[in-house]
Amino acid sequence: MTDCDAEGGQAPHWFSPAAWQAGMRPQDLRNARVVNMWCCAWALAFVGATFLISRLQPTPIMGAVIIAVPLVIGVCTIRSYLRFLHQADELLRKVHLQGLGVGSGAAMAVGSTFLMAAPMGASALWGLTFALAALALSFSFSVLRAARRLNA
Amino acid sequence: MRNRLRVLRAERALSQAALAQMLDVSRQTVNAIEVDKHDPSLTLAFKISQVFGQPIEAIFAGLEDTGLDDAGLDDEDGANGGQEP
Repeated sequence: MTDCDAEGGQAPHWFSPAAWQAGMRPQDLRNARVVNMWCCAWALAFVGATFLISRLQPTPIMGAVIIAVPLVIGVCTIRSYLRFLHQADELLRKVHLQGLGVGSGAAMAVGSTFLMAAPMGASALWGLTFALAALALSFSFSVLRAARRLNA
Repeated sequence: MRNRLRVLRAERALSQAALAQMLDVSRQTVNAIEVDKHDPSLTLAFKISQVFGQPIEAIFAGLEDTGLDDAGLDDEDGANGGQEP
Protein backbone atom coordinates (compact mmCIF):
# COMPACT_ATOMS: atom_id res chain seq x y z
CA MET A 1 0.00 0.00 0.00
CA THR A 2 1.44 3.34 -0.95
CA ASP A 3 1.30 6.47 1.13
CA CYS A 4 -1.36 7.93 -1.11
CA ASP A 5 -3.49 4.82 -0.83
CA ALA A 6 -3.20 5.19 2.90
CA GLU A 7 -4.63 8.66 2.58
CA GLY A 8 -7.60 7.27 0.69
CA GLY A 9 -6.99 8.93 -2.66
CA GLN A 10 -5.41 8.37 -6.03
CA ALA A 11 -2.21 10.36 -6.45
CA PRO A 12 -2.28 12.80 -9.36
CA HIS A 13 0.60 12.65 -11.82
CA TRP A 14 3.62 14.42 -10.37
CA PHE A 15 3.78 16.83 -13.30
CA SER A 16 0.22 18.12 -12.83
CA PRO A 17 -0.39 21.27 -10.76
CA ALA A 18 -2.76 19.23 -8.58
CA ALA A 19 0.15 17.07 -7.45
CA TRP A 20 2.15 20.13 -6.49
CA GLN A 21 -0.68 21.74 -4.61
CA ALA A 22 -2.00 18.65 -2.84
CA GLY A 23 -0.91 18.77 0.75
CA MET A 24 0.56 22.26 0.53
CA ARG A 25 -0.47 24.64 3.28
CA PRO A 26 -3.02 27.28 2.22
CA GLN A 27 -0.60 29.95 3.38
CA ASP A 28 2.11 28.61 1.04
CA LEU A 29 -0.32 28.41 -1.88
CA ARG A 30 -1.43 31.99 -1.26
CA ASN A 31 2.14 33.28 -1.04
CA ALA A 32 3.13 31.31 -4.15
CA ARG A 33 0.23 32.87 -6.09
CA VAL A 34 1.34 36.33 -4.99
CA VAL A 35 4.89 35.62 -6.16
CA ASN A 36 3.57 34.29 -9.49
CA MET A 37 1.49 37.43 -10.01
CA TRP A 38 4.49 39.66 -9.31
CA CYS A 39 6.60 37.56 -11.71
CA CYS A 40 3.99 37.98 -14.46
CA ALA A 41 3.81 41.71 -13.78
CA TRP A 42 7.60 41.91 -13.92
CA ALA A 43 7.71 40.04 -17.25
CA LEU A 44 4.99 42.26 -18.74
CA ALA A 45 6.72 45.42 -17.50
CA PHE A 46 10.03 44.20 -18.95
CA VAL A 47 8.48 43.51 -22.36
CA GLY A 48 6.54 46.77 -22.27
CA ALA A 49 9.55 48.86 -21.29
CA THR A 50 11.74 47.21 -23.94
CA PHE A 51 9.07 47.84 -26.57
CA LEU A 52 8.53 51.48 -25.56
CA ILE A 53 12.23 52.32 -25.47
CA SER A 54 12.91 50.72 -28.84
CA ARG A 55 9.88 52.25 -30.56
CA LEU A 56 9.46 55.69 -28.97
CA GLN A 57 13.10 56.77 -28.68
CA PRO A 58 12.21 58.57 -25.41
CA THR A 59 14.09 61.44 -23.81
CA PRO A 60 16.60 60.42 -21.11
CA ILE A 61 14.21 61.38 -18.30
CA MET A 62 11.29 59.56 -19.90
CA GLY A 63 13.55 56.57 -20.56
CA ALA A 64 14.60 56.50 -16.92
CA VAL A 65 10.96 56.52 -15.85
CA ILE A 66 10.12 53.69 -18.25
CA ILE A 67 13.09 51.66 -16.98
CA ALA A 68 12.21 52.37 -13.34
CA VAL A 69 8.81 50.67 -13.63
CA PRO A 70 10.12 47.10 -14.17
CA LEU A 71 12.89 47.80 -11.68
CA VAL A 72 10.40 48.69 -8.93
CA ILE A 73 8.21 45.72 -9.83
CA GLY A 74 11.32 43.53 -9.74
CA VAL A 75 12.14 44.69 -6.22
CA CYS A 76 8.55 43.96 -5.17
CA THR A 77 8.84 40.49 -6.73
CA ILE A 78 11.99 39.78 -4.74
CA ARG A 79 10.33 40.99 -1.55
CA SER A 80 7.32 38.75 -2.15
CA TYR A 81 9.60 35.79 -2.87
CA LEU A 82 11.53 36.43 0.36
CA ARG A 83 8.24 36.56 2.22
CA PHE A 84 7.25 33.27 0.57
CA LEU A 85 10.55 31.68 1.61
CA HIS A 86 10.37 32.97 5.18
CA GLN A 87 6.86 31.67 5.71
CA ALA A 88 7.18 28.50 3.64
CA ASP A 89 6.95 24.98 4.96
CA GLU A 90 10.49 23.83 5.79
CA LEU A 91 10.64 21.18 3.05
CA LEU A 92 9.36 23.63 0.44
CA ARG A 93 11.97 26.16 1.57
CA LYS A 94 14.69 23.55 1.34
CA VAL A 95 13.62 22.61 -2.20
CA HIS A 96 13.59 26.23 -3.34
CA LEU A 97 16.93 27.10 -1.73
CA GLN A 98 18.48 24.03 -3.30
CA GLY A 99 17.04 25.07 -6.66
CA LEU A 100 18.41 28.58 -6.24
CA GLY A 101 21.84 27.14 -5.46
CA VAL A 102 21.81 24.94 -8.54
CA GLY A 103 20.53 27.81 -10.67
CA SER A 104 23.18 30.24 -9.42
CA GLY A 105 25.92 27.70 -10.08
CA ALA A 106 24.65 27.03 -13.59
CA ALA A 107 24.42 30.77 -14.34
CA MET A 108 27.98 31.32 -13.11
CA ALA A 109 29.28 28.39 -15.15
CA VAL A 110 27.57 29.53 -18.35
CA GLY A 111 28.40 33.20 -17.80
CA SER A 112 32.08 32.56 -17.10
CA THR A 113 32.26 30.31 -20.16
CA PHE A 114 31.07 33.20 -22.32
CA LEU A 115 33.58 35.52 -20.61
CA MET A 116 36.38 33.12 -21.50
CA ALA A 117 35.09 32.91 -25.05
CA ALA A 118 34.81 36.70 -25.42
CA PRO A 119 38.26 37.07 -27.08
CA MET A 120 37.07 34.58 -29.69
CA GLY A 121 34.11 36.77 -30.55
CA ALA A 122 31.41 35.56 -28.16
CA SER A 123 28.85 38.27 -27.43
CA ALA A 124 28.54 39.51 -23.84
CA LEU A 125 24.83 40.09 -24.43
CA TRP A 126 24.37 36.49 -25.48
CA GLY A 127 26.44 35.45 -22.48
CA LEU A 128 24.09 37.30 -20.13
CA THR A 129 21.07 35.89 -21.93
CA PHE A 130 22.32 32.32 -21.75
CA ALA A 131 23.36 32.76 -18.10
CA LEU A 132 19.85 33.93 -17.18
CA ALA A 133 18.33 31.10 -19.21
CA ALA A 134 20.62 28.60 -17.45
CA LEU A 135 19.57 30.00 -14.08
CA ALA A 136 15.86 29.75 -14.88
CA LEU A 137 16.09 26.28 -16.44
CA SER A 138 18.30 24.83 -13.72
CA PHE A 139 16.07 26.23 -10.97
CA SER A 140 12.94 24.86 -12.67
CA PHE A 141 14.53 21.47 -13.29
CA SER A 142 15.74 21.22 -9.70
CA VAL A 143 12.32 22.08 -8.27
CA LEU A 144 10.59 19.69 -10.71
CA ARG A 145 12.97 16.88 -9.76
CA ALA A 146 12.35 17.50 -6.07
CA ALA A 147 8.59 17.58 -6.65
CA ARG A 148 8.79 14.27 -8.47
CA ARG A 149 10.89 12.75 -5.69
CA LEU A 150 8.86 14.06 -2.79
CA ASN A 151 5.27 13.95 -4.07
CA ALA A 152 4.69 10.40 -2.90
CA MET B 1 17.75 10.09 10.45
CA ARG B 2 15.60 7.08 11.19
CA ASN B 3 12.39 7.64 13.05
CA ARG B 4 9.22 5.98 14.35
CA LEU B 5 6.88 8.59 12.94
CA ARG B 6 4.94 6.18 10.73
CA VAL B 7 4.48 3.69 13.57
CA LEU B 8 3.33 6.36 16.01
CA ARG B 9 0.97 7.81 13.41
CA ALA B 10 -0.50 4.38 12.70
CA GLU B 11 -0.99 3.72 16.40
CA ARG B 12 -3.11 6.85 16.66
CA ALA B 13 -4.88 6.23 13.32
CA LEU B 14 -3.74 9.58 12.01
CA SER B 15 -3.44 10.28 8.30
CA GLN B 16 -0.41 12.12 6.96
CA ALA B 17 -2.64 15.07 6.16
CA ALA B 18 -4.09 15.18 9.67
CA LEU B 19 -0.66 15.01 11.26
CA ALA B 20 0.62 17.64 8.86
CA GLN B 21 -2.20 19.95 9.90
CA MET B 22 -1.40 19.40 13.57
CA LEU B 23 2.25 20.20 12.93
CA ASP B 24 1.50 23.11 10.57
CA VAL B 25 3.56 21.60 7.74
CA SER B 26 2.70 20.14 4.36
CA ARG B 27 1.75 16.49 3.90
CA GLN B 28 4.84 16.10 1.73
CA THR B 29 6.99 17.10 4.69
CA VAL B 30 5.45 14.41 6.90
CA ASN B 31 5.91 11.85 4.13
CA ALA B 32 9.52 12.93 3.49
CA ILE B 33 10.36 12.57 7.20
CA GLU B 34 8.74 9.14 7.35
CA VAL B 35 10.74 7.81 4.40
CA ASP B 36 14.01 9.40 5.62
CA LYS B 37 14.25 11.86 2.76
CA HIS B 38 14.16 14.89 5.03
CA ASP B 39 15.49 15.56 8.51
CA PRO B 40 13.11 17.81 10.43
CA SER B 41 14.27 21.05 11.98
CA LEU B 42 14.69 21.16 15.74
CA THR B 43 11.48 23.18 16.04
CA LEU B 44 9.52 20.59 14.07
CA ALA B 45 11.11 17.74 16.02
CA PHE B 46 9.91 19.36 19.25
CA LYS B 47 6.43 19.79 17.78
CA ILE B 48 6.35 16.12 16.80
CA SER B 49 7.52 15.22 20.27
CA GLN B 50 4.69 17.26 21.81
CA VAL B 51 2.04 15.80 19.51
CA PHE B 52 2.96 12.22 20.36
CA GLY B 53 3.80 12.96 23.98
CA GLN B 54 7.15 11.25 23.75
CA PRO B 55 10.70 12.54 24.06
CA ILE B 56 12.55 13.33 20.85
CA GLU B 57 15.03 10.51 21.36
CA ALA B 58 12.15 8.02 21.54
CA ILE B 59 10.95 9.11 18.10
CA PHE B 60 14.18 9.83 16.24
CA ALA B 61 17.20 7.56 16.13
CA GLY B 62 20.24 8.51 18.16
CA LEU B 63 23.91 7.79 17.62
CA GLU B 64 23.45 4.08 18.21
CA ASP B 65 21.47 3.77 14.97
CA THR B 66 23.57 5.93 12.69
CA GLY B 67 26.57 3.70 12.12
CA LEU B 68 28.87 5.68 14.39
CA ASP B 69 28.92 2.70 16.73
CA ASP B 70 31.15 0.97 14.17
CA ALA B 71 33.90 3.25 15.42
CA GLY B 72 33.42 1.92 18.92
CA LEU B 73 31.58 4.98 20.22
CA ASP B 74 28.52 3.20 21.48
CA ASP B 75 28.72 -0.56 21.48
CA GLU B 76 29.40 -1.47 25.07
CA ASP B 77 26.30 -3.60 25.44
CA GLY B 78 26.21 -4.82 21.85
CA ALA B 79 22.81 -3.25 21.37
CA ASN B 80 22.88 -3.72 17.60
CA GLY B 81 24.02 -7.30 17.71
CA GLY B 82 26.79 -6.55 15.23
CA GLN B 83 24.33 -5.78 12.45
CA GLU B 84 24.61 -2.91 10.04
CA PRO B 85 22.22 -0.08 10.90
